[in-house]
Amino acid sequence: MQAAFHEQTRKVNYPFSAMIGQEKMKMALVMNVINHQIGGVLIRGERGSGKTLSVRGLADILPEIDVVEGCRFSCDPKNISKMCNLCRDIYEKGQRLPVARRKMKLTELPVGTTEDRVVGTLNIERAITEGVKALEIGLLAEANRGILYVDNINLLDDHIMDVLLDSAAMGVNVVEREGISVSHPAHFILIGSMNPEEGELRPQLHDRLAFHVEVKGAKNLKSRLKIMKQAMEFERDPIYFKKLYEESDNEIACKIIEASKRVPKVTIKDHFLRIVARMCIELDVDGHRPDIIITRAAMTKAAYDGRRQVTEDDMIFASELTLGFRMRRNPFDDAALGSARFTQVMEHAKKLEAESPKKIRMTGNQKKGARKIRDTKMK
Amino acid sequence: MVQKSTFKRVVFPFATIVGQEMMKKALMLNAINPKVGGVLIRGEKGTGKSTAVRALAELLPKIDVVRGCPFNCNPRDISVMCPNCRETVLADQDTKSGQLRSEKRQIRVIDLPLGTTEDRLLGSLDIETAIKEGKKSLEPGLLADANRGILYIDEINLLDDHVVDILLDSATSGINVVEREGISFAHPSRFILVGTMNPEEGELRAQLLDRIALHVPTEALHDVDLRVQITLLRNSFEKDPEKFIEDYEKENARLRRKIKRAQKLLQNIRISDRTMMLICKMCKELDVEGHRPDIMLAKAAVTLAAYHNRTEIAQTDVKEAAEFVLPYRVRRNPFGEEEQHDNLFDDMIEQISDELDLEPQFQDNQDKPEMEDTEEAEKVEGKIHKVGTPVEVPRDINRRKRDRTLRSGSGKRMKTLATGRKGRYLKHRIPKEDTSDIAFDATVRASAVHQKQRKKNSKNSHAIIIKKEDLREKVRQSKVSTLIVLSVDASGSMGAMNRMETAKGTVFSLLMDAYQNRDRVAMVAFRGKDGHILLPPTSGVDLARKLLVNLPTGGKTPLAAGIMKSLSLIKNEKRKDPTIVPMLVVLSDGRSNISIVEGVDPMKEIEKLGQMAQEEGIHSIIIDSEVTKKRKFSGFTFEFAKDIAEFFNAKYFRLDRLNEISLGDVITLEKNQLLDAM
Repeated sequence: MQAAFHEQTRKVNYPFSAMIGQEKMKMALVMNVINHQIGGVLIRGERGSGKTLSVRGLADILPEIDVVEGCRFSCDPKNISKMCNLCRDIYEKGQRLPVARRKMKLTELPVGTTEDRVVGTLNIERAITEGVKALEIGLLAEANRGILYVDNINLLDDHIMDVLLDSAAMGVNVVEREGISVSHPAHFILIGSMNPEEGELRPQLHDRLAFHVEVKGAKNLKSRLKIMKQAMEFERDPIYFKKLYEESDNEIACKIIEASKRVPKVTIKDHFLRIVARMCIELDVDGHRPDIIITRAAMTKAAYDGRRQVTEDDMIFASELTLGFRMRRNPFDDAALGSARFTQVMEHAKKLEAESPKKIRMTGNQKKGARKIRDTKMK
Repeated sequence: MVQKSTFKRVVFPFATIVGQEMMKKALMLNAINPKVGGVLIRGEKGTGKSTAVRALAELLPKIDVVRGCPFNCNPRDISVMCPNCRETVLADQDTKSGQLRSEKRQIRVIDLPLGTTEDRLLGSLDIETAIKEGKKSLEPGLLADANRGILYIDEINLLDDHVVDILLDSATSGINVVEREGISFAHPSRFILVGTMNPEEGELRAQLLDRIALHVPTEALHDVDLRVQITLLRNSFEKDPEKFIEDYEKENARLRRKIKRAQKLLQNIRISDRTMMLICKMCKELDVEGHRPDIMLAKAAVTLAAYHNRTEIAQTDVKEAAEFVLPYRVRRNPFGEEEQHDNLFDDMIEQISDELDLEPQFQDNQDKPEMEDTEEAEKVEGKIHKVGTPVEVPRDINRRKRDRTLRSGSGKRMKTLATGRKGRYLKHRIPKEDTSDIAFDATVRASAVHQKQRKKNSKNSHAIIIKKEDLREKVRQSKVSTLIVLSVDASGSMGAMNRMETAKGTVFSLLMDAYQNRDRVAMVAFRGKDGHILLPPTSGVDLARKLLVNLPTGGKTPLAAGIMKSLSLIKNEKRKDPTIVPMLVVLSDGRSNISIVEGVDPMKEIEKLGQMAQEEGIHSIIIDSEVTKKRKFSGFTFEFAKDIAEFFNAKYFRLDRLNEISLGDVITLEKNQLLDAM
């Protein structure tokens, strides 16, 4: 009920397809919707450059998903490994789970949120009137299988950030408070936006978010003019404006659905995997997360463009989104590395690869195994 | 529930406010078109700011509200209704019975006092209903009251950062989303934001500044006749307010008609492409941040045209709008004098419109690459130093001490803040006085033992009966944040260059550290006659990098003035958040040669300031930057700064001895010691 109220009270969102420019940010958002495994976006940018507007607009073009009807955690009726206890019980008994179809949700976490609303808490109403200890679900439960959006993520209270990090990492939210002990799935796409002038983000969270994109106000006069015109038009009659862009919004929505169907079919050459690894070594990135993200992102990009093969351009695009900001050793480095730099690094990696084609010989079985692991990972 | 007083306030009529034309116009524009986006009034006290705001509410046409709705919903507009009203309306469509009852009401001015807590602003769980009836409901906060009204914030620049964060979202989206203590609720919150500030007490946070459309300066009038007129008017108002209002009712009615007429006109005004282009070019030329200024400028221009009873936007409207919107958004040099914006905009509009005339098909030239840097290099007097290299802070001294002294519970000055709900719920305790921060788990547990007994004596059928003695309050813990103010001598004395380099490097290394610890750093430089805040308290490296690019040195040494500036900065920050731990670092050779008040011994002044700092509980460090490089005086030092250190009861260091450990380390060490000691 409450959720329904939410949607009604939310005003009409500015249509996603009416956003001018900011292509990289839009692509980063769309790619995350196509492939949930990528792992979130951080949007950094100056005031009034449309960060919040785009993410809210994204809510309207999200695809539909199958959920267990009546399940508070929107469990996937087909995936037992990510089910809540209730659904799993029913599933294991061999009963059929009722299925409903609804839009993927975008849940917002406002800066003033208290911890109990994030994690979930004791349902006071039921505790007092019925004397039952029941869980009142929090935002993490609501965001399961959807998007969790934190505007001004750098201003979030530290302890809420801790909670967020925990569940983002494990995909599970453990509620241990006020006499309740429950855990439930919390897989969500984390999207954050921030203005770096207001303070930096904690490094842990920084690392958690796969893509980092920077947005700036348009410098081009023509786009500036267009942005202003559209903003005024939207304000005058949001519903009419929304209708104007309904078709183009639908187009993107369809593209997302098609692409997410295509993602599992996309293949990447072993040769490319090696190049990605070399690039990461060459750039001296921290940990292995970037390698994985880049390959996933490159495959998603290929799927979006309607291809089944990853190209070099996909990889450059993916590494730009992934590594651009990660490469900043400290906050003093100037803006992110551009695609030109990545092309250069890639050429270098290719050269190295060509010079030492020493491949580890794998037996047929090992090869098969490796491919299998890789394929499941990519999904 | 909060008691709503039915007492009708007598308000000084808007029409009788003398002078302050710009402020009045800005307020009128918002009255005509609430979408203009608020007013920020900058200026000293007692210039009629609050009087004008309250008078404006009186002037505005009455609005229809749903009777009894805490959110002041408009009964006719379903798209911006609170969930409750909407439900009633939707239910109506089926039954066709009983509609929303509406009533006409004056627009309200809601005050947001400085000590406001998050839950008072956002709304929170209504504990009374929760316990008495076992029902969860929202106790609406100020953002609910302010819907369709005016939200007035006096001294908006001193508002607690947390409160500002919350305000930001509602101010732009027009919706307040409450996600607190088990409540999840969203309601409309569209208000005209009017803030006032005294710039001497510190700047407004850039994020918030960006969201308020019109900025107007005010100052007391210097015209004798006008001043006398004000006094006379005010006196006759005090004598018999009712009659006074009656006398001026005609004037007010005239203004009311003007607003109504403008509102009607407003719907028919369209902006031509040429005007839009003009606005865009201006914003681009001035290198403002983001697209919000463009849109605000356009809206203000449209409303101004309506205000002037025109249906076409004239060039003068754009100019006027620019004066309201742009001046404080243009990046300025901290040491530069305030420019005369009047002419600036005039010239600029002239120039751009000439350009537009020359190329009538200006829409087709987008293919040409845009000139990137139209901004002229600013001329700054004196030398300019590059940002020093950051100094590495060793990891092991970064240890963070948690404050266990319950700072949030024992603030003497503001009771409302003391029970703020910030921080993590640590444990519970029996409340000493009335509390709203109830720990439900503990409360329920405490009541468990008595249930049998109580049920026997009770009539209602609640599963749990809770009495006052069961109530438990939450004890919360939050991290203490420190504020380090670097006060640097930028005068022309020996070693100025070195000092600046060091200070900047230190600011950056502290900020790198702060980036993990959430501490804030500010930098004040003094030279010539006065101290200037080069970097307002921030934890953002980006902002520091932006503001500390150019920094001139040279001139005399107003040490006392510099320290005073730093102290007042700390004081203001403490007003915002009494729990911060401030630290003052003075970097100077101690040779003060200019006093604040003419003719007084500067050292005497500094002594007094030292006492002040100690009374305020500000921990200080004095870094002596005296240079003894000349061989002749090798080994001989004046150490003026040592005396100053005594005044402040501060630790004393010499910059030239700080070879091995950097200044950043010293400050970090001191800071940790300070936190440990608490």
